Amino acid sequence: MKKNIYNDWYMLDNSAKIFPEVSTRRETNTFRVEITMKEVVDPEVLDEAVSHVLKRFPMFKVRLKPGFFWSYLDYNANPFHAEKMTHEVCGAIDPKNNNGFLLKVLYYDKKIAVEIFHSLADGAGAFSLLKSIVYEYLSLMGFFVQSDGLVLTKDSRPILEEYEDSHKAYYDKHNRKHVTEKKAFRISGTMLPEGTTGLISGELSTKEILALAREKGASVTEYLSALMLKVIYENKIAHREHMKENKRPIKIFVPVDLRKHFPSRTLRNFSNFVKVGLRMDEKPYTFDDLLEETGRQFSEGLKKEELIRKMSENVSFEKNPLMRISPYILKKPIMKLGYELVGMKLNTMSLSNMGRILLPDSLKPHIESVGAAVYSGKHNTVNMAVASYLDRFRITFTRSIVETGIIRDFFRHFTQKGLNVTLESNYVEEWL
Amino acid sequence: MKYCPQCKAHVKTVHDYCPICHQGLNGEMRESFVSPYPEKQETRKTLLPVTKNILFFLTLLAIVTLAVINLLASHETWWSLVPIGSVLYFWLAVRIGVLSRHNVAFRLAMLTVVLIAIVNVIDIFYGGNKGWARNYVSPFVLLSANLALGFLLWFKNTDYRDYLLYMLTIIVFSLVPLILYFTGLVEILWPAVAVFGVAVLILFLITLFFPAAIKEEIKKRLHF
Repeated sequence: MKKNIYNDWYMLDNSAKIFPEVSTRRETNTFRVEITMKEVVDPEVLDEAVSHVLKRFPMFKVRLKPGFFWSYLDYNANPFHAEKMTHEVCGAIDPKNNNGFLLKVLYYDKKIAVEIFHSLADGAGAFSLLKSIVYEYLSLMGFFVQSDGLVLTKDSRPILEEYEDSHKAYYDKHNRKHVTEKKAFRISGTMLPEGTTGLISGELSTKEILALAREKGASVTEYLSALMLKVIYENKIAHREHMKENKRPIKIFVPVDLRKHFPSRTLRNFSNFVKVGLRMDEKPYTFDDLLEETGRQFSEGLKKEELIRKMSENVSFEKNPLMRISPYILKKPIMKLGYELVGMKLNTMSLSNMGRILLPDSLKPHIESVGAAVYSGKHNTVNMAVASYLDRFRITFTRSIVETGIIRDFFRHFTQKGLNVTLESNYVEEWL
Repeated sequence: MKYCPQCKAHVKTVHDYCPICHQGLNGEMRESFVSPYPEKQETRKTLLPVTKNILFFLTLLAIVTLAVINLLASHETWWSLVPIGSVLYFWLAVRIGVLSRHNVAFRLAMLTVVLIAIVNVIDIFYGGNKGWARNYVSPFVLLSANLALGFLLWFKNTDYRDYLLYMLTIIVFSLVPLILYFTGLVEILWPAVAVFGVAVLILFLITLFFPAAIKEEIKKRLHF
């Protein structure tokens, strides 16, 4: 048991260990969660709210430091300030320009956003922080707010479970078989310059999209994954099946929040993934075929043993005695090389569904919508993040290529079915 | 709100084309509409990298000029080592001491090591190996670094965690002159004893006032 849990140091959790070694200005491993308010955000009040809330989240008030065997997160006494959002979406967070912090709180017009380096937390942790910031902001603005047990307020106290590296709590060393994977199909295109990311989001009705998925007997995530397979196929592979690179399977990386499968309360990383992979060159698939295949792969991947296996595979890597005793300067290049040779090229794209964001009733009159975005890099050139709030279902595409064909066909699928789609974009093509 | 007839989608934008199909849009936005995402702003070119480059270039220029003059004019002695050493130290002092964003303890420790290296090189290769650098200058540089870091640790309470490691490094270095005296490399005893005494005193003070912090720092850096 640690004596001081308010300003302490933390070992990087199991899935966080890889990110500092493999992140660059192009592969930033940063993601964003945002809440759009009904009124324009007051930067000064926001700044005060953030400084209050960060005390409640000591695991985020840290800087990254190298140790002799592993790097670690150490308490950061520097002041933290909210910043005005710039054109960069999920850009690299340079701790040297950021008082050592690995996260940013951004504001623009009516938006409040948290951009966070993946070593600190996953989507669930980041949304917890953002909700607390918005709660505190509204409370400082003089509104009556009540947490209803859905928000961690500054008056509550951090508990040790929130710091836990849950991977280590739930892994099983007897179930850690390594499964080798084939390289995935890559969505090629004209690369955007480093530091610019295209962002296009579409808002749909949660009810309508749920009805659409239910009608096919699928979950929303399954429906979106199958649709992605179809759209990528039609855009990139159809009529070009004979080409070598098109014989690679399209693999969609879908993060899974393990808190829904294990009783963990951690605010740090605790997610795993399900991968939908399919070679599309062999025979024509209808959308219903794809849905069925996706559903099958999802139920395979979400089995408890399979989730534990994937988790244990990573933990055993960290617990390998040879890995443990080799100094950090040696580990660094090993991890970087391994990731570049194998890890990075195993996915075509990622599809993160952050799910329904629950907010207390007293906050609802002030909040318009929520959203999320993940970085796009050299290999995953188009990524999708999904978050919903009440009847607003927001799908956000980020891309590191100029082309928008896949995104166009994706949204047209819904409008052709008569669904309402409202698009927003950062119009990255204007900056070229 | 604008509308794309091709995509059959609504678009919130000030631009006149659809973000996903790039065809023309119908309709108008309200006057008060603000773009949902910020426009690109040219990032201000920071002065720091440019200053670093200019400084580096000037240093290189000075060193090459000095070496060339030395070779052409009189190459019996390596007199140019003295000005080259000074230029080099000046460059490092500005580069590490002023233009770097590392914490102040790191800069101090770094500059101490660099200064000791430079004076010893000059002493051995140019000064005829008289030993002034290792007998007097090195111990006193270490002594001042000890005191400076000790004061930092004392007064900048909030950052002491970041300074501790460099303090300990300098303390370890401070023991070297005395060891060298016993191996016969250093001839003068009292400067070596002086720096040893100060280092040990500071070490005692730290262990007395920050005992938990030292333990913690070692645990952090060495966890595996």
